[in-house]
Amino acid sequence: MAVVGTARPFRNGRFGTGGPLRAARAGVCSFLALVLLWSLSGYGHSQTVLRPREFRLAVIQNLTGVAAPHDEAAVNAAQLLVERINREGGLRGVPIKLIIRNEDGPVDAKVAEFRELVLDEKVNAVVGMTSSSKCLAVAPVAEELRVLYVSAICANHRLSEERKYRYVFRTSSHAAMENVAAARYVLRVKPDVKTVAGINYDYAYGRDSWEVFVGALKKLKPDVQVVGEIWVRFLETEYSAPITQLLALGADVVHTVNWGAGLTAFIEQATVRRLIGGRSLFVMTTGLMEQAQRLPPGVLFSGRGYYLQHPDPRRYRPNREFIVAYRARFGKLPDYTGYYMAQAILGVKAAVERAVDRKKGQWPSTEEIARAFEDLRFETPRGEVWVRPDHEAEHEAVWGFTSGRVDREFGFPVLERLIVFKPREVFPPLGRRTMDWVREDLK
Amino acid sequence: MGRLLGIVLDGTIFASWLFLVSVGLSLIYGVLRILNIAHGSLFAVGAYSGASLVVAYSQAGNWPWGTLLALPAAAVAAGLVLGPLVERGVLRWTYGREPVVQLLVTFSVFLILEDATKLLWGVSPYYAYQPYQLLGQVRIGGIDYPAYSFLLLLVAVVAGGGLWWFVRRTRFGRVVVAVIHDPEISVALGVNLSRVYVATFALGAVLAALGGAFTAPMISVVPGIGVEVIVLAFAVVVVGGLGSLEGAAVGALLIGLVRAAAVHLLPVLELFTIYLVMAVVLLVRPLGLFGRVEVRRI
Repeated sequence: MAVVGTARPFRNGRFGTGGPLRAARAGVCSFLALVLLWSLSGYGHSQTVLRPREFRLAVIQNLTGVAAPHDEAAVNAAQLLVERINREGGLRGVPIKLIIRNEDGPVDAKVAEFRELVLDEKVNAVVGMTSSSKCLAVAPVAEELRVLYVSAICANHRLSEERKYRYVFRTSSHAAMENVAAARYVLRVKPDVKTVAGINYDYAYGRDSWEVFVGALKKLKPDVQVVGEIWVRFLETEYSAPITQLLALGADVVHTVNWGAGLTAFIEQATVRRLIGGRSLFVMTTGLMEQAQRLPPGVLFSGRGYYLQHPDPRRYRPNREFIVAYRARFGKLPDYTGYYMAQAILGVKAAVERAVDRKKGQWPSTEEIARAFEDLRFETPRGEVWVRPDHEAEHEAVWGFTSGRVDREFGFPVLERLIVFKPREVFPPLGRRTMDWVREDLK
Repeated sequence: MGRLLGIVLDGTIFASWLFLVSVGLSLIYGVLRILNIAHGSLFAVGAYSGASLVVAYSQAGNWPWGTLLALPAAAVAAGLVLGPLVERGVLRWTYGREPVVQLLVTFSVFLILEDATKLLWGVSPYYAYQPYQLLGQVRIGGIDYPAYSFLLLLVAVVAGGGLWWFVRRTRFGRVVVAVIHDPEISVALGVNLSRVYVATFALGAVLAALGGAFTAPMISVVPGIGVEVIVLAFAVVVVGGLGSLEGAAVGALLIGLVRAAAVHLLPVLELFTIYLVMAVVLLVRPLGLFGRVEVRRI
């Protein structure tokens, strides 16, 4: 919204020349003008929005700090896809201008930066924020500033369950999906599982994920016993005592959503002590390819319920093109965060184009783009994604075992005994709260 | 019985690591009366140098056991370069100032070194698992332990014993003790105070870097590891009594054992144990287990 200046400029310490009465009248006039402009730009149903020169898209991910290696693929994928979209004619002719910002830092500073992006940089949409605390903090701000905010990686299922948003969307699964899928997979390959233990970072994602995993496992097989819950510091790297404890427990299944440098340290220490590769079946929900490479065969593995082996890049073109282009540009393969970012960027693209088409080629308002985002299906490198009317996304979940082999053509560590779960097996249905669904309806 | 053995072993292993990362902090405080926050980044620099030397050494296809020598070599080099640089370049201007000023100065050195490490080594993680995997495992009570942990224990014992011998048995060590007790009289007796300070700070820096270098093979070396270490080291040193070698050893052992017991018996308490030990010790002995009441001169 343009700011309307006062009718008469402030000169020599006085308004204009006509004294206080004229100043008051000028004030009233400018106020009325402001109201008029407001009503024209904001809410009416027949909105006319000028076609912009560019669509300003901000991506906020960790560029520094302990989470930077984890987010690297997301930033890379954003650049890759925006370049491709612009090469192919942009969003119905409007090129995307990509603005990349750093997520690393305290929550309040990031909320301030979000405001600055919207108010000063005039971005049309913001994508990103890996940390749950940050995505939960900026969502209400996006709502207040009426800007499109798409959460690409953030896993907290409370985002949409505790408040209804108009401008906030998620284009990928939340933590419940990957853990329900993990529980189902465990029961398929180890139907006689009796005991389960967990080792997780002591924070929201760790606690919530463990709750869903155990809840799903117990609902599907009520005689499963929890024999140990170990909570470690966020990104802990020293695991001597927890590993001894897990070795002593000897649980059938050990669950962890630990990620990043802490997970790598755990993998190394637990492999040397034959905890991984021993009698317990390990379930790792949030691994990067570099970690899959380190693991011995027989670990149940996924990157938040995804792995680039599916849909088969040999047969499914979008996946193959993504992998090939990514490798050509960055010299490595995209981790799951790259796929999740691709879902977000392609989601924004699909929503904008649908909104433009609904207006027969005229440029839509943010409000109209948001409405077009609801109940939207679009193709991504990982297959079809459906953004539901409740702003959550559904798609397939992929899990498999590490094999110790490497794919000859693409060079990724191969997962074997891949199981692909249909969305309805791992997502709460529309209108159902995640934990209620896990505890009551799962079968 | 098995559980008790597990607690004692895990506790001792963790304690040896704690001792290694905190003894330098205690030494520097004992002599210079400065709480060196930059200790954390000296640890990080040690970890990065150790990791990169191990990686470079292994990639050259050398004799694998040499990586075990690469670790201390990298640490000594890093400590001997950075220690005197920080002490002569920055710290010596703060002697005799308010403790708050000294704290702020070491904190700024910490921040500068943190950024310098990022400039030098980047933000991607470094892995140096070769020494860790090389040693394999030892089976005790039916459970595998990494042999590397016992090497760590050995390094801690050697470092602690060597330090004790140095302070109690060598001529220079006795001079250091004299400075600890009374800097002014020592100067009057002809002790070169600056030399003692540089040497002590360099030694403290080498110990911090040694802790980092020997930690590197167990973790992935990433930006930010220094912050966590300074908090832990501070807790150990406060429990043991600032400036006391024996204190650092006992403090490390106490915290290590209590934490291991918590993991095995009451896992929910694990994160809290270190602060619990600290609170209880400080309630009973406000100066730490081996802290001495200082005579205040007017």
